[in-house]
Amino acid sequence: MALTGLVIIFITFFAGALIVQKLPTRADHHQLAESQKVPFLGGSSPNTHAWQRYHIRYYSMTLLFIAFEMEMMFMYPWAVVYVTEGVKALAEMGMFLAILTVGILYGWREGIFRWQ
Amino acid sequence: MYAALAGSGVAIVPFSSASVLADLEVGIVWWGAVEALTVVVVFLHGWSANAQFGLIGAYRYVAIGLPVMLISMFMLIAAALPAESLALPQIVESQRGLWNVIRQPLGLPLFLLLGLSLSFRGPFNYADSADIAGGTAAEVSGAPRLVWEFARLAMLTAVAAMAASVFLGGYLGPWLPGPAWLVLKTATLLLVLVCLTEQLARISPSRMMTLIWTTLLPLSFLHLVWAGVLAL
Amino acid sequence: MAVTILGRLAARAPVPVFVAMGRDGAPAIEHLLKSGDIDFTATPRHANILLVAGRTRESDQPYLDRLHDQMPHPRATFWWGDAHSDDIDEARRSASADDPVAPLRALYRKLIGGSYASETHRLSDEPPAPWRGRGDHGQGGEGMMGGVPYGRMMPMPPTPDIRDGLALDVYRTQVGPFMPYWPAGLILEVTFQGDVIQSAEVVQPPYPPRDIDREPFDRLLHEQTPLAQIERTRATHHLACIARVLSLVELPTLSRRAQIVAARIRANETVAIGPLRKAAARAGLMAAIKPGLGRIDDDLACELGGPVRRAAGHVLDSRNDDPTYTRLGFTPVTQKQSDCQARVAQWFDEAEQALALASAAPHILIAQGQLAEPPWALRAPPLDYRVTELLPGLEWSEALLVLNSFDSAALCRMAPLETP
Repeated sequence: MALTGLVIIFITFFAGALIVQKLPTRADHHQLAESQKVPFLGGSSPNTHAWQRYHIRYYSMTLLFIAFEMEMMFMYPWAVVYVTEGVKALAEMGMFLAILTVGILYGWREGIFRWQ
Repeated sequence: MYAALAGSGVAIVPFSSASVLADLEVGIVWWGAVEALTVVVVFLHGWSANAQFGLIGAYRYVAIGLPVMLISMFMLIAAALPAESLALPQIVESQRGLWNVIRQPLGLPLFLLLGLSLSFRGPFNYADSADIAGGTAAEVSGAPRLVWEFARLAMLTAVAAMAASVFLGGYLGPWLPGPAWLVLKTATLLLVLVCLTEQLARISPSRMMTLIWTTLLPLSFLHLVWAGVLAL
Repeated sequence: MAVTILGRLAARAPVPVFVAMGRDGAPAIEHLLKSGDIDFTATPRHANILLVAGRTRESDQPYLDRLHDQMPHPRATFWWGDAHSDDIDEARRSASADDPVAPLRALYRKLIGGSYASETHRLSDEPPAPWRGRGDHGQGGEGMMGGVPYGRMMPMPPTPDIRDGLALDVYRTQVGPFMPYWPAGLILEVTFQGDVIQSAEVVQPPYPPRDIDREPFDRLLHEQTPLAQIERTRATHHLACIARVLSLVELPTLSRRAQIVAARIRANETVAIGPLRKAAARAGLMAAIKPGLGRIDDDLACELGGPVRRAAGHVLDSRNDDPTYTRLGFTPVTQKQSDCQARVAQWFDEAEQALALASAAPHILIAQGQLAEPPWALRAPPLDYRVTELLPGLEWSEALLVLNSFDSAALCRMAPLETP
């Protein structure tokens, strides 16, 4: 039931946004000139496509992020049973977080939070 | 190209009135998915224009969006501990005695950072900023831009509504009916968010990334432990 | 019906204007912000009117045309300044002494209402390279990377990065000359890897300081000029520079405020800079600029002179030797660090000092021919330093902070054309 509601809301917004974007283009009788398609670079024109093998300067940070994101997955069920499990749950998650924190410290020393 | 961005403005809306619209048992998980998808959508918006400034905005946004997402999820899970549930209505109910903002004082401010980051405003504006001529939105005009700016504002409102529910007791409050309280609290948080937008300068992305990982994330660990000890 | 109401509402909104600053006879555009009726946009795609302030270089015309074509319909061009020919109709130009807010508003209303036809494109409607019908799928390319898919080449082949040696694509492009918060007229050929600048080369140097800022200093050469006017002009010049930096650290409201304060000082109103400075400090302006960013060595600072030199800690100011100034108790202010932070602080200090001097001596005249320190770097070339040497290795937003921490005269001197 709740999911149906969510899906309906999702589709309504999605369709609404699409319609708002598409309607004016039908009334617009101006042709899109080639010179209008040029991306903005302060008046200059690019020679090449911008789609490139982009140098993501923070790539090593994203690896650390994955570790935390996985941990997040364990935390959802953990949060629900936390009170019934008591101190044991706290200790377990504490250890887990402590290990991950060592990961942060190591990464920090290696300088992965800077733009490489 | 623009179709996906609408989703970002949309998906969170069910939370705006916690007891009525979508009573999902795993509300917190859903919200986590929305955060993650927002990062994807903003990235695609910048990438799709095939322009260097859009690309810079898109990649930079991902760098900041990811760790901020972690922080916000820690905050939400900490709030879920005393409620013993991931459903938003239960979390609100668990605050009948004492609001989470007092019980877990770090939660609200750290969660508000997420609001700035998700809608890339002010100190967290790495996607659509002035130095890259509007960033991911530099190449759109007219109706698509209208929808984009609307989605940004909708996202900000969604974060405020979420924060009001999780940390300020949502619809709980004397005298006034529940929805009125929720609207009031959401509006107050929006005001705070807008003030933060105007009042804080932005630091360079690499320094922000270091700040998040080395200061804010450990803070959120502490917060989680604090919430855990209290909930026992 | 609904459409007409929407149209009327739209015509009442602030006029979205993209500004292209000219080199000669550029008027004081910050004046437009005073009424709150005009919005400067970050990109032409968000604007309906291209405002050409003053006259640009001949060679910049194609760039201007490209900006014009990038604007969405309905669009129009508006010329503000004296240097334009008379064949442009009245609705689309304004003399530099006039206030163009009302004509801009009228033009915008006509554009939205449809009574003024949207301008057609100025550049030819041709793709950058012919591609239709070529290649395996008619996309213009051959194989994975070859040819010109959809009219453009793929980015440059990989080269090792200057920091970690990863071999990834570099993106080489010209940037400029017309962007907000970009030194007007400067065209750089920048090589990016990711968002970090690998190298930069000057294609066209930036424009020198605006005529409107130069005017009292030029006038002093042949006639007496009030000290107050000179000092007020100094304050406005510095505030305009500060406004650019404020906007780069995402404080658009404060940036706008700085420009409005500048416009009011130019209009001889009494305004204090202190509140603006306090607001900027509260917002963390200095914390947002990394200490040591854009530090230049002493030799370069000395060569450039002006506020840049004083930001490096050298007490050198020609006002020091002027009896009028000495009588007012003038001592130059200096900073130590010679980086971006110091230069911004120096602008604030000098602007506040200038206003104090102007109010202390509202009627004193300076004799003609006296050398009054202009608000920008003034020393004469030759220079071996290039602004392009400061940029490699910087992330784009930091690079912009470095560029904008110099006044336009200093940049002109640091950005000569590379000799082949």
